[in-house]
Amino acid sequence: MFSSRARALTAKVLLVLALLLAITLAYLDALVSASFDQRRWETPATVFARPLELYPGLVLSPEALDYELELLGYRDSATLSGSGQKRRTGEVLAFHARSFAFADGRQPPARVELRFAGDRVSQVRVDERRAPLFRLEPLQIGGIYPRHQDRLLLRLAEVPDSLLEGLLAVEDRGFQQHHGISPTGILRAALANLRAGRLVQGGSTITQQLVKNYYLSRERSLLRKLIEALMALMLELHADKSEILEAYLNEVYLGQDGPRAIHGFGLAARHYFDAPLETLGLHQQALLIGMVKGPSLYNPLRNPDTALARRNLVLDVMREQSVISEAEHTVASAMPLDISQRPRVINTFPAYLNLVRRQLRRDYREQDLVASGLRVFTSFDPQLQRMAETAVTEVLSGLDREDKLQAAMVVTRYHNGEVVALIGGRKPRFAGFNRALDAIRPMGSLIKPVVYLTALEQPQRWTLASLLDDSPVSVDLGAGARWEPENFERESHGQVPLHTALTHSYNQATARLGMQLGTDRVRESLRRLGLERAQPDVPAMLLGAGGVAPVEVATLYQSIAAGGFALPLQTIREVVDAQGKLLKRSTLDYARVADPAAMHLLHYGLREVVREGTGRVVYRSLPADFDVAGKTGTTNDNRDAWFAGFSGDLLAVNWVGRDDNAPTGLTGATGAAPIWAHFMAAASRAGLAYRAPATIKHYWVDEASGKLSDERCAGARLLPFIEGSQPQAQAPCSDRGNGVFRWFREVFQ
Amino acid sequence: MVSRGLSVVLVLALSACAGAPSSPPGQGSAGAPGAGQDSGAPATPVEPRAPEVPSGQRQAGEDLLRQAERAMASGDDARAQGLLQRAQRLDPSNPAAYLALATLLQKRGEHASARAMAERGLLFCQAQDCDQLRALAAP
Repeated sequence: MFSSRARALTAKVLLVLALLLAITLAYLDALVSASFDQRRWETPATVFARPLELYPGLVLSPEALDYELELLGYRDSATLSGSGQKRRTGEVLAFHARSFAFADGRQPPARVELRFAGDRVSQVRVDERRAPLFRLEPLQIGGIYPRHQDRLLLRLAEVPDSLLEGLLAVEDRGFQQHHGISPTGILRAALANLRAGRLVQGGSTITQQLVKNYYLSRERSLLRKLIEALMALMLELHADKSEILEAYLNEVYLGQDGPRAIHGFGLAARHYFDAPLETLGLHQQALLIGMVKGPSLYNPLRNPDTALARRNLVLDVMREQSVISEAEHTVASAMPLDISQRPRVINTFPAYLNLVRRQLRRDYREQDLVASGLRVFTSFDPQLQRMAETAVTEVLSGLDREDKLQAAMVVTRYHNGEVVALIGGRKPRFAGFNRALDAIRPMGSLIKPVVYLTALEQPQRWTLASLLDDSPVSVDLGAGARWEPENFERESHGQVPLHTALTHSYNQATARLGMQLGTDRVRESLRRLGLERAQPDVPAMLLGAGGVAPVEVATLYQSIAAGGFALPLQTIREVVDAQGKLLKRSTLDYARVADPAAMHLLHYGLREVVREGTGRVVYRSLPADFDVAGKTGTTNDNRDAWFAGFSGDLLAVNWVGRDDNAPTGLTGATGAAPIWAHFMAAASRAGLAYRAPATIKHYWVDEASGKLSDERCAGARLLPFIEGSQPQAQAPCSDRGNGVFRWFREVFQ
Repeated sequence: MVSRGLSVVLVLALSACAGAPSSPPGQGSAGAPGAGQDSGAPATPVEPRAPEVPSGQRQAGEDLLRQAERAMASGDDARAQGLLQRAQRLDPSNPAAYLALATLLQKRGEHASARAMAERGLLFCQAQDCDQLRALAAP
């Protein structure tokens, strides 16, 4: 009786326990399956820079190409025996290009030889034959979780077999056989440790380690170990071995780069060796495998001796397990650590990746983004980025020793709207507040070209020669308030030609012109040219009181630079799925947003700004015959210094200011334009060069009266006009009084 | 009036001291003669230069254009578009790239885009392709 009651009680207790266990298991199971799938869905997209197009005549120094090949992980080799190797001999740079799957198909491996003449490519040979063009594989600039943090993803197929086998030999020999936990593994590890007299192997399987990294705290307790084992068993039920291994390779913690944790073998290879994982030698692979055990203890940068000993131990295990041959073991063990000597700043372009991520979210469907293995081809140009970073750093360090100034820069190729470089702050490799995208500052005089364009679009009313009134201005705002903007130098200039008012950025003349045009009309022009951010409907808007982000200025100036054709700013050229199928390609699709003839007149004004006006400083860096155009901007109390301008191939927008919005003492000309010019002098390959629209005609005009004049008259200037809008009345001509000129005229008349 | 004229000369002379350059070669007759002749101050060329492209760059672009032509002939418009965009990126002042892209857009029925593309190409056209581009740019 008693015993049967006791049995019943025991049965009940067991039942409850079993129920509890079942609930726990169900909970853990749900946790494992749901979150593992979710994590796998969040496998990052691989992001590539632009491929470098190599052709005869390209302005590119052998050093610059060598830099790009180094970034791509090419190694110097005298024999050039295999792909991924390069050799420079004087003016010839030869390399074995790897095969690469571009968005438009796979390019086979090739033997490429480039001859240089100075800083130009003079000849391209591909597989021993002269070629007009060779497209170099693009640099991988990151892996981004479209919805998550930055990481560099590896596919299992990209991981060298020796690394996989070596990793399993050291960390989990029974991986292919066990079901998540490995009693024999624990035993073997214990024995091995005993034999070696120290910790050489761990008992945890790869699956357990992954579970621990994914879901569990760092706490060491028996209960946690039990939960870990249970979850490992469940994970093995839900995912196959290759999925688990791939997740592990991308998840494992391998050290720290400042504030940034290095997760995954891909990023670790970049960090420690500055090379893609697939190009690492056995000695380098062994080092990474060894670091799994203790990334901090075996950090080759901090503890080189400990790391070397650990690496050689791993190589011993690899030989024992026949992963490598005796000969390979001998060679690899004799190698130095071989870690990258260069500053580890390569391939961290957080500001640009930030914009890529935003554009992915803007332009692509959620279901496309979460598919694994996306490849994103962008227009990022590491060479231009380097030049932009140098320009910002060098100019700012000369301006500000206290480190208070901040900067932002956006560089685009305005012929197709591609963003090629981006700087979000003074320390460009540090991911933080991205000022290029998120700092909303008054645009100041950068707005003036839009005011003047709005006028020039009415050629019967305004031309470059129209006289504007630059006397003091006072606008009634109602309720007793008045708007009374002054010129920067607090002087009035009376009647001035329209182009001069723009060139010298006169506030009073611009305010008057803007009030005549109407703020609505100017706001409409801003929208038309691509500025999405609404501007305040107050007269002060005419002088740039409204806020904009640098990237928005770039959109606006893009339409100006392209001659009245708007393009959305783009970073992404193509997105390809894991199967190589093209999901989407950016299309070149101009929207005609302004009359190209009126825009041509505005270009004249902006070219004059840098030749004769507020932006003259740029020609301290640029050659005189290199034609560029741009506009300075300075806001109240010198809080923001701006420069936006373009050459024949590039548009750049520069902002300099302080995060606390304190006055900087700088103007657009002293703060931003020097950075712009420093960059353009290094980066731009073409001055402005294009044909004026057919309706443009040139006339000599008397500057003082705005009437027609003649080449030989004093005060005359040759200006472009939209045909029919040129002045009709003739100004009286007084000879300019140049003796030589007069002599010539007398001789030839 | 006289004092304004003087101040213009003064401003321009001062700007010359600031190190701004004189007008580029080949553009000497254009610009501000008042300043240019009298004070040697910098001048703004009335027009940008005519586009001229290093021959290697043009040839590389033309190579892509030929590939695009072949793709179009075989009916693969998507591939052709990719190649044309690559050609325009490589050599953005080749009018032939704009002409081909405009033709492709026209073929697809995207008339406004085709017109804008052709009109943009006019900025770089040479005598013979100007007419074709003008025809495509006409509303």
